[in-house]
Amino acid sequence: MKKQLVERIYTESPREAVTVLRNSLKVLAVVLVTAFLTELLAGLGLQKESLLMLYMLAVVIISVCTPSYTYGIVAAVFCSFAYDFFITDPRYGFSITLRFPIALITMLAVTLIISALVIQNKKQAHLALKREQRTQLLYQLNQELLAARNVEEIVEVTQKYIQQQMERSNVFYLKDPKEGGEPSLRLHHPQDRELFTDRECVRRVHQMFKVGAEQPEELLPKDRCIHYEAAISHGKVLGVIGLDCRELPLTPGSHTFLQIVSAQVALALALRYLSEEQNNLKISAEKEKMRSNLLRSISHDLRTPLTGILGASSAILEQKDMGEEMQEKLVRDIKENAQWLIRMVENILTVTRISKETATVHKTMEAAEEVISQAVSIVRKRFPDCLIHVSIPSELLMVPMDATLISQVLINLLENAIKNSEEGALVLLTLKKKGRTARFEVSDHGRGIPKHLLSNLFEIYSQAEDRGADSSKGLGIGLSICKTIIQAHGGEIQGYNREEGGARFIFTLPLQEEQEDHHES
Amino acid sequence: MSHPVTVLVVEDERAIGNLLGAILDAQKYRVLFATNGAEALSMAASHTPDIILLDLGLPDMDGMDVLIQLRKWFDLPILVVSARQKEQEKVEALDAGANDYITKPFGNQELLARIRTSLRQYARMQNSRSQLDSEFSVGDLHLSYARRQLHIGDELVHLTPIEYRIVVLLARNAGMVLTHDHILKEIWGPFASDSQLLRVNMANIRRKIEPNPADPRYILTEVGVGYRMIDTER
Repeated sequence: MKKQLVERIYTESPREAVTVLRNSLKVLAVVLVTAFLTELLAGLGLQKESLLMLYMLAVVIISVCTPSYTYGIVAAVFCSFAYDFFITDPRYGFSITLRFPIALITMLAVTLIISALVIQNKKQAHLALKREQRTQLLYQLNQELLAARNVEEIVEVTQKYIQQQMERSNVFYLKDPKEGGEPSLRLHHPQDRELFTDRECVRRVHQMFKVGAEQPEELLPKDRCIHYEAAISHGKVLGVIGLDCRELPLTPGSHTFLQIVSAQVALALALRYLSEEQNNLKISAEKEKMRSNLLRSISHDLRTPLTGILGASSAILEQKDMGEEMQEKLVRDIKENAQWLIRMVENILTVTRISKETATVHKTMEAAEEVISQAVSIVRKRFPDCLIHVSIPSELLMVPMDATLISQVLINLLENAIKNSEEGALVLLTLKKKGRTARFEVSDHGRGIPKHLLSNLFEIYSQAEDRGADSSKGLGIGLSICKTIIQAHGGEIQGYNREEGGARFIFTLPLQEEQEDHHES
Repeated sequence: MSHPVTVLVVEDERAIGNLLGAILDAQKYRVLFATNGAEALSMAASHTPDIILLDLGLPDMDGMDVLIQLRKWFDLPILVVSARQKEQEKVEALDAGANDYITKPFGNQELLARIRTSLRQYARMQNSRSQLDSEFSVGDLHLSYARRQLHIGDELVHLTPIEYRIVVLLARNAGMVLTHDHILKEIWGPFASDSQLLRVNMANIRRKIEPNPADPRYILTEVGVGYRMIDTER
């Protein structure tokens, strides 16, 4: 009978067969050793009852050492027969008196009780191990959720875990699908896609988002195909997980696991949203600060020339006996101040072209040389005596940019160069293609940049203390606007003193790859 | 028997009106004022001015509508006054039939130069209806339509047929801004829309005719709007 069992199992799985064989050998060995021992002890004239105890012990040992009832029962039957054969009268012969069934029943009972205890014990150990593994897993999930850099990563980690642990396709919604939420699918079988893209699924998810936080989910109508679980934090549904339950309904244990997971996900999401909100607040506070700084410094800068204009014009109107020379001087001042104001306003206006939300600009492909020539001609109109030399590559360079803004940057840099140089000194404007960028360079032979300004040349306030009756007033704003513009284009700007004297400002603009080459046609 | 040139100034700001009046008066122009669109339309009809200075920002109606209304029957020059940084507005105005635009804030000399250019251009257009000019020259640039040749100084410049047509188009409208779109449609036909093509050609033309292509003398760029061939050297 045992052999049959062995054979049957052997054909199924060699590993199981080995265990069965080993256990059977154990049973055989214990029974044989006991039979031998009792035979020995019986020779010494021990009582039959005491020898029965030995057989009992053998059955107990076998029950503890083997994994299933079968071995215990087999051992009990063997031992009863051995007891009847060896111990009871007639010795070495079956008597089958009343003693035999009693011994058999007692041994079977002992076996069953002990085996039951052992198996229960083992089951509990197994359960404890499983629970331990789940805890470990949840801990690991928690760690990964905390380490996630963004909401998308949280979703990905969660879905991966659910799929690994439950071996089911699942769907994750971060937002109500009726409010533009997009499903994130993780499919265990590729054909599960339709299950989640179904209208019914979308409707259910929407329902979960609407009532999930207020109603215990038992009250929601059940869906036999998909189980939905809401990730809720502070009464707000932050996400809904849908689990494919078509083949296997959810066991209570899995359900608990899913609930714990969703609670953890809710926590992670809430944390992430909170920190994002905080970040946004910080950024907008920073922006607000920048704006008010700009406003303050602009109004300060505007007041000076306006005072000049007001004073000079009233003087001319009020003092009729003013000399002609004096009058002309005042009018000239008015003109100069007004020109400065116009430049200022143009600079400020350019900044409004930069999108407030994204700090980017609307780029179109422009011929860099055309933008340069426009800037140069505007500067020439303002400073008729200036000497600007422009050099460009022989190849046409098309650069994606907002031409008005870049032209403003060039105007600011050129004016800066002219104002900081002797009258009639040469200013160089060079355009080069360098790698994947267009490089604009404005160099002068002037005074150069004062050392204490070099480190924060492009900050609004950096030149405030240096700005007096000096004609370079307001350039701080000009340069900071240049930086804002270039950064919005994804480029870089820097300024330094040249070794041979004078200052050099360089800015680069990225070229689009496909627009890199424009040969002469 | 030259009668004074009549200028209709359409401007709602009194201070600017005063200023324009003073400048134009000093040039012996006859100046008429309109402070809103409706008035502008009726004044244009009753006085038939030689040129209209039209500010696009008007209190009662869109300056662009005034321009479109005027262009239905008024074929004398219209000069649009617009704020800087509004390239699109300029392009629209030019495409709607404005002869030229001037950007606020502008210098007095610049304004007068633009008015003179527009008047001259108009006169030339009137003449060329009967007979085409046989040549055009400005600075060292000499363009002979009859021989289809372009000289810079004494040197003959070799242009491709497309380049030549662009130069001719600009020269025939010397002093005026031609929008990218206008040039594209004139040269490449009504369905052309790739302004890159025009830019590449223009870059090539500049490298052939300008002493320094980045600092052009003859064909100026109005960024975001179009190109202008100068008609007199400054």
